[in-house]
Amino acid sequence: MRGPVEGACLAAALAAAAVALPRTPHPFPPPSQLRLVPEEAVASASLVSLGMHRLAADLAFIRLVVYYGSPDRDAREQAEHPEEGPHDHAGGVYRDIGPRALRVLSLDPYFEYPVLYAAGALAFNLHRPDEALSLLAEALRYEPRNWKYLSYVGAVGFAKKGDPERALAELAGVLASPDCPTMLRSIAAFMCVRMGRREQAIKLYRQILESRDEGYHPNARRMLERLGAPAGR
Amino acid sequence: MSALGILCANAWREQVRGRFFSVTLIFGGLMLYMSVLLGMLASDQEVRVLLDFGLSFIDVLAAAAVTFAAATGLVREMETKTLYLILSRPVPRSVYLLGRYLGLLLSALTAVLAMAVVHVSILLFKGWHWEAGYLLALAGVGLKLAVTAAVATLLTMISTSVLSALCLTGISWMLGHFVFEIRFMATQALAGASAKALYVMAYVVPNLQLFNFRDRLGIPDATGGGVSFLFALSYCLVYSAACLGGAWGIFRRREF
Repeated sequence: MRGPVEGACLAAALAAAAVALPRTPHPFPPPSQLRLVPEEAVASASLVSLGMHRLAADLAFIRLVVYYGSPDRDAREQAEHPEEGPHDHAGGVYRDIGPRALRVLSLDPYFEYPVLYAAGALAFNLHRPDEALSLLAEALRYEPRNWKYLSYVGAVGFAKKGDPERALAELAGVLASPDCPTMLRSIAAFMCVRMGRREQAIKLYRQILESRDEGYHPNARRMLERLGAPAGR
Repeated sequence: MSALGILCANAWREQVRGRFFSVTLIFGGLMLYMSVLLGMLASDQEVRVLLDFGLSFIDVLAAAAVTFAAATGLVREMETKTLYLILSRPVPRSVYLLGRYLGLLLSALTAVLAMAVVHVSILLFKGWHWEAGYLLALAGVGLKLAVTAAVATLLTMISTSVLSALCLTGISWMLGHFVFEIRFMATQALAGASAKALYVMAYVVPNLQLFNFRDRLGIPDATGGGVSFLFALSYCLVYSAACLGGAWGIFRRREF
């Protein structure tokens, strides 16, 4: 470029950039804190570099759901080779669920659902409350006042102490919120059945039937039948 | 109607009759297909995933279309001799350039609006509750388009071929979303001339992250209300004006 017009334009653009750059909101962690794994690194880094943190987190979340919804490879391998030691859970070990949830969190620290989903699975399904607590601690670093995370911490603490009654009481608010993971409602409903809280269990199973996650519908229908309650209200 | 208005209306009509609406149709088809697929995969979070996919698609497709139209428009007008016909009349070159730019921007915004209608219809069908943040995200896409079209106009003037103009605009669009990472790289591990070059690059490339309201949806106190949007608008106006001014500086000296 040459000439006074072009020079003035370049100066104006640079001045605008100098004012704008420090004031641009960027509420995401720096690239050094991204938790990437080889099979997802290229897609996630590309989306992040195009300013699509939310979309990258969505894709990582879908992978998490697919992972937890598929038969666990580790458990299958251990079942095939029992001499290597028993596996922890009849449905699978899913040792990668915590790291996967942390990966989603590193892409979008304000995506609440994967934290609730993975922490619920870890604490109440897979019986690894310490992993659930460390995931919640990481999520609370970004949103220290998030009441759902705080309720979860309380509930996991009580579950760890073997007090499911108080764990359920802590989760009451989360269970009542419309964006509560269906998986957590299913766990809570089962806990209610075991504690003899029939009405509460029926209410939760009916909420499950209204959810988008159709994977839990057949079990909810079966449980309602067992509890002698119609599926509708 | 003034010369600027006529040029703007002509550019808009030309684009709307051409590729912009094809892009919209392709987008609509893709969205419908993806809504079925993603519904199965994302379970409880179907609406969020659809919202993010849709807004990102609108952003990328509109940017690609506006870049292509800006880079090829002038060359096509030279090939069809339309340019000579216009410039042989008492139309200043600045008015010609601005008219084309505004028409292009208007047609891109029409396409964004059409895509948003399809997107919102699908979201509402899937049980989404309307939120004002969506409009802010769309407005951000519009501001990004204004800057991208201005950058593409300037780069078309500087570069020697359509392909190089397309590539340079595409690269600057990508780098525009990467300014924080560029600054981060400059502060980490690099020193000397490389760090300085990266710092300069962070300031020269358009800061498109400023308009990225769609990526800040649902973040407490960070989506930016009026003040942040007004600031983004001011930046968009200054940066676009600077690019168009630069393009005019080159265009006025060009011999046809």
